[in-house]
Amino acid sequence: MRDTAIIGVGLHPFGKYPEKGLRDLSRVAIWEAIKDAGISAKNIQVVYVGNALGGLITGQEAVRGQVILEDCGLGGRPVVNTENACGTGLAAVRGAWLEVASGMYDVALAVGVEKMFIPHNTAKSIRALATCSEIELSRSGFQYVTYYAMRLRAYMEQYGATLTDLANVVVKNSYNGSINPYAHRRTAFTAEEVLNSRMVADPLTLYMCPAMADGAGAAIICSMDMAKKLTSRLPVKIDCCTFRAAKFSPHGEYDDPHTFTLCAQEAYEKAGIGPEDLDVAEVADAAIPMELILYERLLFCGKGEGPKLIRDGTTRIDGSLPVNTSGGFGIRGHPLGATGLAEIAEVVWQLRGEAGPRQVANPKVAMVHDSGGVVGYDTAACYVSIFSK
Amino acid sequence: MANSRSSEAECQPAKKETRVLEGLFHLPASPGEQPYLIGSKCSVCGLVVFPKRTFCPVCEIDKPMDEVPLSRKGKLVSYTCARVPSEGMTAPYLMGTIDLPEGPRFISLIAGEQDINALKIGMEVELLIDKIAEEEGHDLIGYKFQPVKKGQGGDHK
Repeated sequence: MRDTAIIGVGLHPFGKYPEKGLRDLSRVAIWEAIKDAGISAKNIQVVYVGNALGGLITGQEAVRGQVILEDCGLGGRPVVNTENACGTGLAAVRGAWLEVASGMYDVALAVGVEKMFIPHNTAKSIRALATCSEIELSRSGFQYVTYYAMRLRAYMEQYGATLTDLANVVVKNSYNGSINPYAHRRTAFTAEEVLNSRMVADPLTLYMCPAMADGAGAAIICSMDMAKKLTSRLPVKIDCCTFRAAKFSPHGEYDDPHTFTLCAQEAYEKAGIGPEDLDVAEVADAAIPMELILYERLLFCGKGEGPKLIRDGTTRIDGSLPVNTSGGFGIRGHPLGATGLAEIAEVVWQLRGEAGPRQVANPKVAMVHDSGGVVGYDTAACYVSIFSK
Repeated sequence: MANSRSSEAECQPAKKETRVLEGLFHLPASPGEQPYLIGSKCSVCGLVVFPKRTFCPVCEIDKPMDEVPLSRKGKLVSYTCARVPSEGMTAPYLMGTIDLPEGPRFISLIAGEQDINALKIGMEVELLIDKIAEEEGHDLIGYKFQPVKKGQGGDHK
């Protein structure tokens, strides 16, 4: 495998856009990424397009990537349509990365797009999201907020995490989102506001859960050699992109080592680093307080120490390991296919020093964790990537 | 009166129809028989899983698992109340994570108590086959668990 880099990223702001389709959202992100890379669109040789729920939400099936690219004027290339629940965006990036790292192509485009918001029909969006599980479960009232609510209740009971700890993750991430122009939620909440917002799935309140957001993201992936020829942009190196579905264990989600940990360990090993070397991370807080458990699973701290990292400010923008500087899934927004691309855009901006008011002090190494879906009471798709400059 | 009531019922037959989640549980064929969930047991390592699988996820060998009836009682590992409904559901409704003595841990709707404050981690719950949702105007029959009431439910499996 040869060295590869991201040389351009672009996003369509996340939020509610009932008047826009998959094409409208994608074209903004794609052309932003091309402009950001400073290359000609003609340099792009292969495209991966990630979208998970377009069939259910919009009725567009089977050829979403082709439909999007045709509208963008970028037809006539190999196009791969990818989906993998909440990991869909990283699935597209990983495919594009493999095309370049293997030497098959020099320049690839990865796109992620999703429409989640359905006016006056949140129940339909919830059901569509719930199909990222086995049919028997999604037909039986299952929804993701209940999954995380139950996991967090058990965690609180086991380790003594408090409702205030849960709320303070939202306080941190909503502050970050309030200074991110691409974020869906742009309000910095206080812990009181978080705890007083209406109950959605006990103990999770409205502000602890992602709202249904639409969005799109894109990234240009290039061999390191070609990057130097094509652009003056700082290439952000892709050190690794690990991926796995959960292996069965009796208590699934509750068992150790968790799939996220196995994936992270593999990523640290491949990148030749440890968690102490990370300067910034974007993680999959599909219910915002789940970040506490993710700290442990990604080995940022030991078992039961998640709340400590929130209490002592470690994961704030000015802390020693800032997490979800973009606002994360719950605040920036979580349109499945687009999410992974937004995580990557954030760490690329951070490593380049272009994150504006969210800028972390001189970061050199970043992690992106993206995951989702439930099969056999455990994660269906987990991705961990390491980036560096 | 009886006649007019039955003709009314004939005008609205759809609601009477039911659909069942297939392969997850055994419906009693005669009165007195109890329903049970259907799991799979590996004849090599003894692992029991629910919902049922064709092959053992631990052994990874080409030897189908056997169908087994599962205990009707289990323990509540965690719980929540969905205040916003998914399509086909009426909120609020309770959900729980269930452990069965044979080993499986899974998610289920919780019936029998509408008050979330009546639920406790570690409490004993028992199986109930009931309407769980509506699909295209039809009742969907599936499994739920409910807290075991003191002095009821007996010791039988």
